Amino acid sequence: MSRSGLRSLRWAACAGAAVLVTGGLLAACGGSSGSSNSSGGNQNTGSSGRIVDTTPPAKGSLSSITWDLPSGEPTTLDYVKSADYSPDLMVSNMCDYLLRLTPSFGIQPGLATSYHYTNPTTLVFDIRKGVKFWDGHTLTATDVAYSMLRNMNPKDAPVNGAYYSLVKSITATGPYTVTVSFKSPDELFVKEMSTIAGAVAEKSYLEKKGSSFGTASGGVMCTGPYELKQWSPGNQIVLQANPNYWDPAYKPKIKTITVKFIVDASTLTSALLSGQIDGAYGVPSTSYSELKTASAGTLYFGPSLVITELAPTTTSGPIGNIKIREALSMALDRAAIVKVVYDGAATPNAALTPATAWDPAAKSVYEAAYAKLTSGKYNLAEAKKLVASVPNHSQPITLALLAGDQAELALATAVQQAASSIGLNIKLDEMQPLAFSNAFFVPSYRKGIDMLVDEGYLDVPDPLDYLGLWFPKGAIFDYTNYNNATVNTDLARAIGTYNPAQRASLITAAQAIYMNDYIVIPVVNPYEALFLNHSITGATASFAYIYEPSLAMLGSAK
Amino acid sequence: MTLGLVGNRLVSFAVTLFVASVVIYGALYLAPGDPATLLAGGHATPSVIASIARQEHLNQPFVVRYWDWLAGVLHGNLGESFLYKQPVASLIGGRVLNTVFLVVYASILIIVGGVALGLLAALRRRTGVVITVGTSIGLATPSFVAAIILITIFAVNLKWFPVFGAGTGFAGRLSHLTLPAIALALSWLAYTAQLTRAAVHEELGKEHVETAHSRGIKQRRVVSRHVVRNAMIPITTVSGLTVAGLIAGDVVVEQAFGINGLGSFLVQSALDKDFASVQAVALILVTAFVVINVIVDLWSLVLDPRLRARAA
Repeated sequence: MSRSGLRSLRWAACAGAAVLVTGGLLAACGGSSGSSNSSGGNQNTGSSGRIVDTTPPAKGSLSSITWDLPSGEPTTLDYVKSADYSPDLMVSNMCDYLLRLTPSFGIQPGLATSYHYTNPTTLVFDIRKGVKFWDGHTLTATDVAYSMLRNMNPKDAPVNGAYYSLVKSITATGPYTVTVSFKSPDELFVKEMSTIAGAVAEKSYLEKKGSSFGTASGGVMCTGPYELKQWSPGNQIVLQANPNYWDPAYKPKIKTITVKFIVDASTLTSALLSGQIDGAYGVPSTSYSELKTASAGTLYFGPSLVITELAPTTTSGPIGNIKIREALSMALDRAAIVKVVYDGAATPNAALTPATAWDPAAKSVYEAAYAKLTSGKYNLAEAKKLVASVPNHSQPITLALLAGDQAELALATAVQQAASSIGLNIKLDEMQPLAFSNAFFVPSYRKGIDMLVDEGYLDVPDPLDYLGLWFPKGAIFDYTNYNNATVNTDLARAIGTYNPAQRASLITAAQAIYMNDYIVIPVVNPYEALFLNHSITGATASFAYIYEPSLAMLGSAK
Repeated sequence: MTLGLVGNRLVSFAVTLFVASVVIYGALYLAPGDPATLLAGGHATPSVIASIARQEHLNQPFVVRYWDWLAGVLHGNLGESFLYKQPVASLIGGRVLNTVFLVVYASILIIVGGVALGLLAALRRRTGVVITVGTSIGLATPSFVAAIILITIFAVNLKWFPVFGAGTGFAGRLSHLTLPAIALALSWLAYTAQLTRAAVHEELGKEHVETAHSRGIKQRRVVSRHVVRNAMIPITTVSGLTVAGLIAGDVVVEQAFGINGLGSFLVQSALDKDFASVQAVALILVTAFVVINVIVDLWSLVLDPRLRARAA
């Protein structure tokens, strides 16, 4: 998935990314356990340098809080049409998924109590008994199968259908059993069931509402910890605690959450500072410096599956030449970019996928392969030599970015300076939001552009989640008709390989090739940013917040 | 005013609306960007985008789409937002009141405050200097700057007013919209004050005023009957136009204060190329603009007998 291609990007590309911690301290505002009890402004620095998965656990209940969605009002609350921060956060707190993504990116049972493969192409889910929809109806396998199949029905205009591309059929094979059969083995599918692609809604309600499901007037009907009480367009969404929620670990502690849609960075910052808004994920990076010293609350940073990269979009001109791409990558002092542009709240990245996406069961394989990559090495002298060997190197290279996005502009400017120091001539093209988002998906909008500032993210910790969008030739983000037979075969085999270590070998073998071809110029893996008022705590701080019912963890800090 | 004049007005109003709708629709049509990707989200494969464009009729030619829209409007149907899948009328309904409240509130501040300050500046020399300096600063302060200053002082630090939102009910709106109204009104208020001061100054030097003075008429009466009444003619015209201008300034202020009104909705809809929503809001704004101008004209007739004679 690409952040830059999304609606949210118009407001804050590095939402949850860049940090303005003065002096280059590593995330001086990251809070840690116990920090929220101290008063004044020093609790933030008291936990400096800490990146946390979750905020300190909630201590009690509250009647109401006000939340904000910095990416703006969702256009839909229908899970099959949601692929952006705002709708995903809302849906994840209202609708349960088959599996549950934890703050540390682990995967646990959700509406499915367990799953097993009867053979490599048949996956069986055992559906939890006794779960009720908000209207009191009991959840059955029929609801689950029906909800899943909507991801494959063009009539429902599904946006997450890519995860279902290898699915042959989905059937309720018993009152509490759902069987998925695949055209060929698919190791990724089951993981995606912990994301919005695994959401379950009530079949009868879906049938009754038709295309109005998920709109302000049609509403939703799910089993999740929060019920949709009201959606008044342009004004707010009101969530109300589901008193009969099945999972004690996520039983909501706050009765009513009013969700606002403030996107203006300075208005949101003022609202957070004054306590009128109690919390928000993805707070604008331009506000970090103010928020980290706020007496009203704490700014937390968490690990993320986000990557910031430069995506070449042409096969001609200087950037069409591998040597120039290699030189540009070599000219980037990523450690300095982390300090200056992200003020410490990011990790340098040398690959197409972030280290946070490595499968824990095969970490050593990924680590060893990553260490061998040359794409992250900083070497100005070598870069200059490479550039000089290419005759047309002084032709202008157009780098497109989102107009009005200060964080992206800072990064693009840093890249421009680095390029100029080795004899490359980068021109910045600040594009209007809609045209910029189109550039990621529609070839005609990439005319005249040589590279895009790209902020992508993975839904689950598995490199294939993102690689599937880049390979093989013709994939959504394959802008340069990249076609390497070994990469294609390795990745095609990887998706069918259930053994983590074997899969990691295949993925890293492909990685060595495509990174050597510099199909992308990786920059960093930025952190997620969450602000919470001192009165509340408990929410997930990591990027897993978009799929976990993260608001259900919130409660009073005292 | 004769019937002919009213008829003329109505015809020119209809023509204005039609031309505005064509121009706005056309501009939006030509603006870069394919809104189908907004619905397609992060996995916008060409086939997903194409199927969405087909479903939403986004790929039809300009004339067809415009005609569909116009036919709907003539039947009283403003259309549906392709993004929110809601009738535009319902999306606008909740927002109109916020914007009307804000614009009326700011207009009152401009007219009452501007005229009062201007009179004071013209009639009291010492206070006049202070007011002139103050209004010069006000005149040079863009509303988004005023918004940031007002929020920082009165909402974040003093906590007298809320930071954002429009509130509900009269009292709620009054407290929520006070800072936005001030931010919106500030430069226009300053302008009206300076204009009033100049107009009153001019009238004060005129023969009929001197004559009135020489006849021993009390200063208060001279000011109210002879000076202000005549000075009111340019003031009315200009303040009427400024109120119409508020409709444009409202867009900025609504964004800055996170107010759910027509202005912020217009900006968002234009960015998303949500045709039906943009058209509906734009037509409302054009209508408001025309209506305010008519009111200003009528009020001028009331104030100025010479215009009345000419109209007859």
